[in-house]
Amino acid sequence: MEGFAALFGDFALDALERVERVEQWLLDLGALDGDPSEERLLDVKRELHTLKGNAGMMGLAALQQLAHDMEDRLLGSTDEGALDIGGLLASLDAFRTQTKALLRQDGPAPSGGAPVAADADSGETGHASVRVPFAALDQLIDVLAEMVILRNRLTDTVGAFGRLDEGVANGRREVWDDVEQAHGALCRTLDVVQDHVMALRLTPLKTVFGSLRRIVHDEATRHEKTAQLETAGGDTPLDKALLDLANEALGHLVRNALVHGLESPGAREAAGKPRCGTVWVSAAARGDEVRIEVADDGGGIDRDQLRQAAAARGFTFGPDEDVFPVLFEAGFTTRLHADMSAGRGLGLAAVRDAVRRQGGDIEVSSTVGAGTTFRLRLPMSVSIARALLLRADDELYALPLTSVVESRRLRPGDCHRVNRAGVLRWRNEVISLLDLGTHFGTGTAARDGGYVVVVGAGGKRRGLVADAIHGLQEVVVKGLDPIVGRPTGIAGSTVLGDGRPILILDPRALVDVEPFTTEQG
Amino acid sequence: MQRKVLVVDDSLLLHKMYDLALKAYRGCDVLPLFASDGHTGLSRLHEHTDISLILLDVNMPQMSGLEFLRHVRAEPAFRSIPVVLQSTEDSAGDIERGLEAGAQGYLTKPFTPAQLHDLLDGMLV
Repeated sequence: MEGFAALFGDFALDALERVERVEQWLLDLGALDGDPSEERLLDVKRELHTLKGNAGMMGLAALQQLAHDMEDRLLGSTDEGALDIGGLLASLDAFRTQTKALLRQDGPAPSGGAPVAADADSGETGHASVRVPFAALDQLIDVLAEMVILRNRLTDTVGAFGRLDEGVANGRREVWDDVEQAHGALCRTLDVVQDHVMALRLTPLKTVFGSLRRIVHDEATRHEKTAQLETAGGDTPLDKALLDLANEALGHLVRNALVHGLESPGAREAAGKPRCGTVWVSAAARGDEVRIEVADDGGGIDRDQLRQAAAARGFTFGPDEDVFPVLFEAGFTTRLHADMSAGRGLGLAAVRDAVRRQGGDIEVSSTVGAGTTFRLRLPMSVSIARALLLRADDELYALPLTSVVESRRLRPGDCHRVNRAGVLRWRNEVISLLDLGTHFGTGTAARDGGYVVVVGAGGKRRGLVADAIHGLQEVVVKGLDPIVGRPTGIAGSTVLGDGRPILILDPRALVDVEPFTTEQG
Repeated sequence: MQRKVLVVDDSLLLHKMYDLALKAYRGCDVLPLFASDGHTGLSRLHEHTDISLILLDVNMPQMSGLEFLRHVRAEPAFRSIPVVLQSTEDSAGDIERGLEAGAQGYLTKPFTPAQLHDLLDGMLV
């Protein structure tokens, strides 16, 4: 037997969790108001000791040495009373990086063999649990997605057959009733399975909050500011697939708040504020959505100055138009944040793009002297969405239902032309129309009949014009083949019950499409 | 004959390591039982009255290994079960105190499956 090499994946996961814990405790110990309690120090010491021992068990001498050095540094510093938090954090980073590098070399190791007999009454909560690799969950979801597609196909067939009186008459009525009943039961069961499986992927957001504290600590040190992070709603669940995005986006926003938002302690004092700035990150679930706010009590953004800066760079706004969204414009952000150290995270424009690609959105508001607030909305889970099926020029499109405000028939008199763009009078508003056929190039002239579906996104509305509405369906969201590129207004693809692949529309991009460039009619 | 070995360790990783190593033992058929803390360990001892050996981690939060050992030694029914302490090599003080408190052997981390097997040879066979 060659030692415990087979357990490397387990070792790495265990080690990364311990590293995370130690990091949080060190940040506690280093926090301004943190009381460097003996108890916390002992906790850190115990974890480092375990890390060292476990690395040794795995025969990973370099990691063992790293943990040993950290332990030494901790013991040394407690004697002298000064805790070298920065040095310990740097060593923890090295430990984490090396572990992850080994994990990558080892391939998808953590799947391991059979899980060890679960210790039913272990742990503080008393709940039995097993650790399942996300890859296994993804496989389960793929199979479930296939089942949803098959269910839709069955629903189509049952519906079509039911409409044929002849079909029912030729078959036997009671046999058909059985088919319909079984179909109904299957649909309900599948819904339950779907809910449960999707819930398995939900992970509490607090797993992301930990790294934010680290960012606050590091950036405050780097920019000679004092800052604290307040978090709320750490138990808010989010799909694992979105957790990385949330991590990147929140990381960027918090870094942004530290670098650009909070003033220096001196400037804060002069403004009559506490020397220590605060960044709040709070999350809450609202229906199928997770809303996350990142707010700071810094200097805020001056609306007029921003308007001037935007104008200087060629972005123009009407007098009543909100100027803050310009912060998310690609050409604008890069120049505004030219002082940011290169290669750190995403730009605000990239954050918004990434968030919108996953069906979320981001907004910003600010008050001079009081601070800036970013509001992030993300769907709680991904993969399966309810969508309205639209047909335009024999092409079917799936429109995510969450964006639909209203749908109705388009009569020839409803549609007006303003500067070659179609507009619709709707609830005392004039909204601009987008013809799906001309936008996606399947038709050359915008239609003035059919149906219009009013969609809302980011505070804007748009009327999407199509020939017909083919009802509601649950669709499995899949990515686009990279060969297709990323056409404007497409969020992904899905497969219908009959096996036909169709495109999923991206309402957030469609509301922004320039009417003049698309309607050449 | 199957021998039951109770592992008391707060690390699930160590549980897996013991599981791997104990199942590979050829001296006799071993059934590993696991507990993540001292309290669970004590209830395991009450559930299974035929445990042949306890492998005990010294460094555990809440109830420490030595505390657990004292409980075990205080209970007449468990007094004769051999206990092997497991600790890191630089914790000589713990080991000494453990042996004084009635442990029969000790195993220092890092250990290999072969080292564990050698120890079982002396304790079980």
